[in-house]
Amino acid sequence: MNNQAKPSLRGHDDADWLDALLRESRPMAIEDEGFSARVLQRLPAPLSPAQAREQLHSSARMDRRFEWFTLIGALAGSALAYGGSRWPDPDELAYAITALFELRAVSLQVLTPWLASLFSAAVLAYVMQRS
Amino acid sequence: MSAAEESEAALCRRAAAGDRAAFEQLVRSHQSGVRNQLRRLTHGDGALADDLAQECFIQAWTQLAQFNGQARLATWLYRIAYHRFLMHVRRQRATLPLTDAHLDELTSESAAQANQSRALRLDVASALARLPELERVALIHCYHLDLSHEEAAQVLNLPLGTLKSQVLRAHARLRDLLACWAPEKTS
Repeated sequence: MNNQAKPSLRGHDDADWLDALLRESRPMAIEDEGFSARVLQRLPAPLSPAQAREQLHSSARMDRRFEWFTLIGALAGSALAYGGSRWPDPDELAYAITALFELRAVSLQVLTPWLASLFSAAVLAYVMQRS
Repeated sequence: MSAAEESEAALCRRAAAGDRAAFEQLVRSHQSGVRNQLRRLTHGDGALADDLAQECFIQAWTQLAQFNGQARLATWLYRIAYHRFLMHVRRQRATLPLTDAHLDELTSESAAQANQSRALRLDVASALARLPELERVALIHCYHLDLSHEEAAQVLNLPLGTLKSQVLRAHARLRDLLACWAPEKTS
């Protein structure tokens, strides 16, 4: 670090010398030197109103597709979870939940359908809220 | 609204309607700020900073209709530039090393400028380079780009409290790193 005299900082008290230092070290303005011209050369042609509308519609279509994809995925996941798993009886489930809270080993087979439903519900709630 | 802001708003409206001449004026007014921001973010890599700045202005051109004028145009541009920088870093998945050449570029001045000023800039640049990235970026936006804390938080997409705490932490570190610049205590 530089140890020469620092006349420009004299007059600042201890509280604000660092503020002053940082402000004094502010970068200088950069000359344009053809930068703006280079940007202008690379600008795409402006969209016509019809193209702008089409771009907007296309983006809305993509959004809708994403929402349907998520919705169908969540429903299909739920259906698979229900169909492919043995649905536990209430006593079994109550026991598993109690065990979970008491940090004891729990059979995932019992909890999986419920977790899948919970996950699907969260995804559906997110999609509904987003749209 | 000041006359300058009013004319900038008019330029924005014209540029959003496809007026290239109006957009060129906006680029000329803001190129220095955006390029300076990116040079600091890229640790002084001027070529990369200018590439990103060009991309930033091209994106601004295509999205100008979405600029609602609630923030300053400069803040909006800094935000786009910061986003472009983050995208670049993610693409590269590399940290940008600070080399002596980069430090020289950060502090380069004409020969007529005082050594004092150059030494100060060099010391501050190398002290900033030692800060954790978020603290460094927060300070650059608050001090070098003259943004308020609210504006800097907006550009960096951080909660205001987080930005303020980053600035405070950076201050504490810089007090040590730049102690040689502290005014001498008079008793």
